[in-house]
Amino acid sequence: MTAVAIQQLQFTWPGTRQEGPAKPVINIANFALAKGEKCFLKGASGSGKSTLLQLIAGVLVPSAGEITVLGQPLSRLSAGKRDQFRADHLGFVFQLFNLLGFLSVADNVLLPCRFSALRANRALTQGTSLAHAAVNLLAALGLDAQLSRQAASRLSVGQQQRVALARALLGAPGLIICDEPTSAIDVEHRARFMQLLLAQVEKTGAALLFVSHDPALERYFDRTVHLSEINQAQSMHDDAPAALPKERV
Amino acid sequence: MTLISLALKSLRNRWFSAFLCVLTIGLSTALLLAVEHIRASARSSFQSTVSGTDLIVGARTGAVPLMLYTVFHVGEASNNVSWASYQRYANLSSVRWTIPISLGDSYQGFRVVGTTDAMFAHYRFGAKRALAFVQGQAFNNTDAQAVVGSAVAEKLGLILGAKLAVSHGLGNVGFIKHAHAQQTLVGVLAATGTPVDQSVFVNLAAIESMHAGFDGSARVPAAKTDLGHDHADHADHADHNVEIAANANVPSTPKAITAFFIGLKVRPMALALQRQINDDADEPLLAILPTATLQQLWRLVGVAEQALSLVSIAVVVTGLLGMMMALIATLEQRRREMAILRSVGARGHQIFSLLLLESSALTLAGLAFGAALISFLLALFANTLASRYGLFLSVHWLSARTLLGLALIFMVSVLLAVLPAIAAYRNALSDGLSVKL
Repeated sequence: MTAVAIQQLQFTWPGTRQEGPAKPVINIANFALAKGEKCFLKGASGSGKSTLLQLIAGVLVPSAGEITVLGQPLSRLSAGKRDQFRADHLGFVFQLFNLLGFLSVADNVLLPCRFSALRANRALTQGTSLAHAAVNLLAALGLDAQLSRQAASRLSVGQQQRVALARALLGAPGLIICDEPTSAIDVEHRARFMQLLLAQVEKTGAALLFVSHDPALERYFDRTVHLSEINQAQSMHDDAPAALPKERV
Repeated sequence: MTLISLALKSLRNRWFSAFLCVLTIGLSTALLLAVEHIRASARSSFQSTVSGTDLIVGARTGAVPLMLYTVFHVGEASNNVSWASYQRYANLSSVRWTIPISLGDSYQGFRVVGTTDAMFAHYRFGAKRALAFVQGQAFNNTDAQAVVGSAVAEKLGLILGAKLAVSHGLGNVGFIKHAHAQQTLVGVLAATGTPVDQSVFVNLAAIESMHAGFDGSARVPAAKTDLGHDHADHADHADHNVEIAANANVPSTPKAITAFFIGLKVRPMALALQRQINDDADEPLLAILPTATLQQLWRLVGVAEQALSLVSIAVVVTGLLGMMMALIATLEQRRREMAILRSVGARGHQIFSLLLLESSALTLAGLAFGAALISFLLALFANTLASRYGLFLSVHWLSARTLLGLALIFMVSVLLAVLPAIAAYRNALSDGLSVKL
C-alpha cells in the first residue's frame, strides 16, 4: 500500500476563466509515495506546490483524476469525512505561523488529538496521559517540559517550528507533509531540525512529503521529485498531449 | 467541549475587545432590565394609586376628569356634591365606609384635602396598604389640625406642631390666607409614591369653618369648598377677618363636598350602586370604578412608557451590533488561526460553531454582568427610591418577562453572530491551509 498515489490528477481553480477554457494549475499523470518513504518535492514558488499539498490534504477537490492517501481514495469521502481523515492520518508543518499564539505549547501539540479520537488513542501509547505524551515528544525534539506550559507566541521561530513538528508527529499519523518548514530558521538550527524530523519519522514509520526549493536539503531524502517535471499543467496551453513524467516510481 | 475551550482561550487572547463587548452588552442589558423593572413597578403602582375603594363619586363629569381631580389632584372639579346626597349614600346599609373630600385650597403650592379621619382609617393604595404615619397621628374631627404627605413635610421642612395657614384657591402662593384659621400639624405620612405624598389633609369641619363668612354670613358656609370663587369673593373676604376670628374653630356641617370615596360591604354590589348613583334623580352625580378608570388612564400615559422600552431595546441591539462588528473586524487577522485549525482536522462547520460559541460566550458574560449590575444597583438604591420618590421597586427584578427578555437578547446575539460565522466559514474553506500573510 502506498502513502500517496496520484493518477491523472487535474485541478483547475473554479472561476478563473477570463479567456477560453480554464487552465489547470495541476496536471499530474502519475505520482506515488511509498509507505515510510521520505520524498523531497522540489519546486519554485508558483509551481503549484501548495495547491498539490491541499489536494493531498483533501482541502481542495480534484477537477479530474484520483488521489489515494494511505489506501483511501479521497474522492469517495465527503468533505466532512476528508476533514476527519486529515485529522486522523496527516501531520502538517508549514513555513511559518504554525501555532495558535493564545494556546500553550502543550495545547498546540495536542490540537489534532482534539479533533481525532484515533490520534488521541495512539498518542496515549506514547505517554501515560495526553499531556505526558506531548511533553515526551517535545523533550525528544529538544524542548524541555517547562516550555510546554508557556504561550506558544513567546517561543523563538526555531522553537515554534519544532513545536509544530511535535504536533504533526503526535499520535503517529501515516503521512507527514512539510511545506518549507525550515526556510525561516537559520542554518545551524536547520540541520538540527532536519535530523529531529527524520529521526522521528523513521521512528513512527510515517511517509514524509517535504516540499522545498532549497537544494541543500536534498541529501536527507530517499528521493527527489521536481514538481515542474511531474506537473504538466504549464505545457497545457495548446492542449498538447501530456508528456509522461520523467521521474517515475 | 474542545471548541468551547478553544473559543474561550481565543477570546482571552483578545481580552480587551472581549471586555469591551461584555461591558457594552452588560450595560445595555442592565438599562433594559432597569427600564422594564421600573416600567412594571410604575405601572402597578400607578394602577393601585388608589385601591380598596369600590366607587368614587363626584359631580357629573367625565370618568377620567373625576379620577384626575379626586385621586391625582390634577384639574378642578366643576361642581360639588351636596352634603345631603353624600349623607344619603353614606348611610346606605350596603356601604361600609365613606371618605368625603373637599378640594380647592392650597398650602404653599400643595393641594389641601379637607376630609375626615376616615381617610386614615379606610384609604388604601398599592397592595391594600393603609396610610402610615412616620410622625404623629391622624387629626380628630373637631380641631383645626392637619396631616401632611411625606413630600410636603420634606420639601417645606415641617415638624409637628407647625401652624399651617391654608390659602384659598390653588395658586402657588394664594394671596388670600386664612390667617385666622391656622391648622396645627399633628401627623406626617410615610411615602406612598402616590399623590397623597403631595397633599395636605385638614379636618373637613375646620375647613368649613374657616370658609364660613366668605359670603358675609356664617350661616351659608358650604359652597366655598368649590374652586369657582372669583376675585369679588376675595375682595370682601378682607372685610370679614375680624368677624370670622370668632368662629374659627367651630366645627360646622358642610353644605357640600367635592367628592367621596365609597367602600362597600360586598364588592359585587359596586356595579349596582354605581348605576343607582348615576341615575340619581335629585342631583347629577357620577360614580366610577377606580380600577377600570385607572386602566383607562394608563393607556394614555402608557405611550411614554412604550417609547422608553423601545429606546432601551434599541440600545441593546446597538450593543449586539457592536459585538458583531468586533467579531467581523478580527476575522481578517484570524484567517491564519482558522487555517491552522483546518490543517489539524477542524471541519468547516466547526469553524462556524467556533464563532457562534465566541459570540454566545460574550453575550452570556454580558447578560450576567448586566444582571449582576441591576441587582447591585437595586439593592443599593431601592430604599432611597422608595423613601425619596415613593417608587417602590422590588429587589427581585427577575420575572417571566425579564427572563424572556434575557433569552431574546441571547437569541438575537446568536442570530447576529451568524453573519461573522458565515464569513469565517467561507474564508476557512477558500483559504484552505494556506494563508498568505
